[in-house]
Amino acid sequence: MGQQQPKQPDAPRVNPAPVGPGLFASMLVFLGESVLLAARAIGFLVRGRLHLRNTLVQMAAIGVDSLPIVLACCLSTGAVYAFYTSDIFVRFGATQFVGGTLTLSFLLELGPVLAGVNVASRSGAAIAAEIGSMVVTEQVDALRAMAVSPIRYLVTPRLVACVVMMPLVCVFADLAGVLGCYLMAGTHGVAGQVFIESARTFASAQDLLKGMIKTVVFGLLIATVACQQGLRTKGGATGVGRSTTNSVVICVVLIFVTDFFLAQILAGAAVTVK
Amino acid sequence: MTNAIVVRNLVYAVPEKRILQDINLEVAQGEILAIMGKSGSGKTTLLKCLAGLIKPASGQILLFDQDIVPLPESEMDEVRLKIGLVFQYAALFDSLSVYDNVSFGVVNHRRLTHREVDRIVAERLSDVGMPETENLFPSQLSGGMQKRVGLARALAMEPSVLLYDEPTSGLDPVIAHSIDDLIIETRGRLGMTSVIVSHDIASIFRIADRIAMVDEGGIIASGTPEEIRASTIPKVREFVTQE
Repeated sequence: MGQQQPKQPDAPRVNPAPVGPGLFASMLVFLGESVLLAARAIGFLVRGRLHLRNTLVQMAAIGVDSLPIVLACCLSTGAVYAFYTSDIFVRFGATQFVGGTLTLSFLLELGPVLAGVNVASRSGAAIAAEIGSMVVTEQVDALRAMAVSPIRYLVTPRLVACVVMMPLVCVFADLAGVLGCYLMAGTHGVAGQVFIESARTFASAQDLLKGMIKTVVFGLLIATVACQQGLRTKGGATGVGRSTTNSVVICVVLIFVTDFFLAQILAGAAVTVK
Repeated sequence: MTNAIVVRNLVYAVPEKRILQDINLEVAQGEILAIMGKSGSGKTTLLKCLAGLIKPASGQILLFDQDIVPLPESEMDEVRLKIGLVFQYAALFDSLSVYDNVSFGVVNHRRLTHREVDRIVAERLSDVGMPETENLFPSQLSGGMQKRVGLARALAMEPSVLLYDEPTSGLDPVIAHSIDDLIIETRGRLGMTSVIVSHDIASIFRIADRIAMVDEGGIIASGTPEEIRASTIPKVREFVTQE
């Protein structure tokens, strides 16, 4: 019979991170809550019970306030993208493709995704933090106690604002990005006229539209996830911090994953149209 | 006298434990019932059950003879219009001014002219001793002032039942006394039924028609202030002798 190991003193108990079935269950809960929340928020919209004042305030917060960050981010990303790409094109004598390639990339991919990530980081985080704070300070309970639905008052306006403003933010993201590309390509020997001609040849209004369609979906995702995370906040300041972080992380991951599928769907739609 | 609130065999539980067990309670129309008990005894949970903010595991809550426990959220809203809730930490909407906070309920549920809303807000703020503070924001108010605005917000809807969660905690004795007077005066003027959750023994004995003591999720004593004062139950005596 082996000697019994001396009993170790109790280690501090830490709640294990959810893995396996626990993680799967939390993902299902998240999915169920998010779908239900979005459906109920859209339900209020369909029944014409939109809180107009809140919606306008949110449109300003989500659209206008996000704009400086989106512009700065897209302008610099466009410039960096052109910095690396133009050299290669120029080296192989393909300057007539620079404008088209960069513009198309921005309209279809970089503009929508960067706009989405920026709005998720700025406005999505703000939504989750604001609603989370309202939950922990009982303001959401106060709404319910006064027979005002928190979904109608808080979620629907944010959802509408995100869905409406995201495509507009995307247009500005595209403009800033392409401007960054144009300026940087110019310093690498791509003439402005050649850049514009190339962009006109390869990119079309349909490409801009595809990018905008993507951002409508991103807007829906950002608002739903941020509101869901905010509304399920528990605890005090720590809980609000956790909800805010989760909101940003989930939104960013979902934007990239959804972008992959949207790219396939929109490409498929384009082929069908042709 | 008919009952405004009847609670039968109420149980509220979370996965780890039972917060409320087998609560039975009756509150007559126009009566002021005070619920006292230690922190964590389940007083606020009981109040939130009465307000329909949380659903009990079992039991009945009859509000004017209507059982609110099985009601879905959409139908609960009708019931909530009859209930006012004053939160322990006021729960004012921090993005809205005092005016918007106090008028929130009436603007959302009644079709009134601007002038009527202005009048209601001015009257309710005056009632709680905070006239001409309409343009301030909650962050500009002290805790006690926020609490009084919270009370004005609840009163603005002129509910049939008013639920108070610690209405005088954190207030100085003068303001606390004025809030007590306001609760009594509101009952006299509007005939409101009031349920007050409080630690403030002096305030409870000053305003309550009846008192119930909650301990470890159950009601261990109830009666008139005199009966509670004369109670021989050790936990009640221990609590009451702090007065």
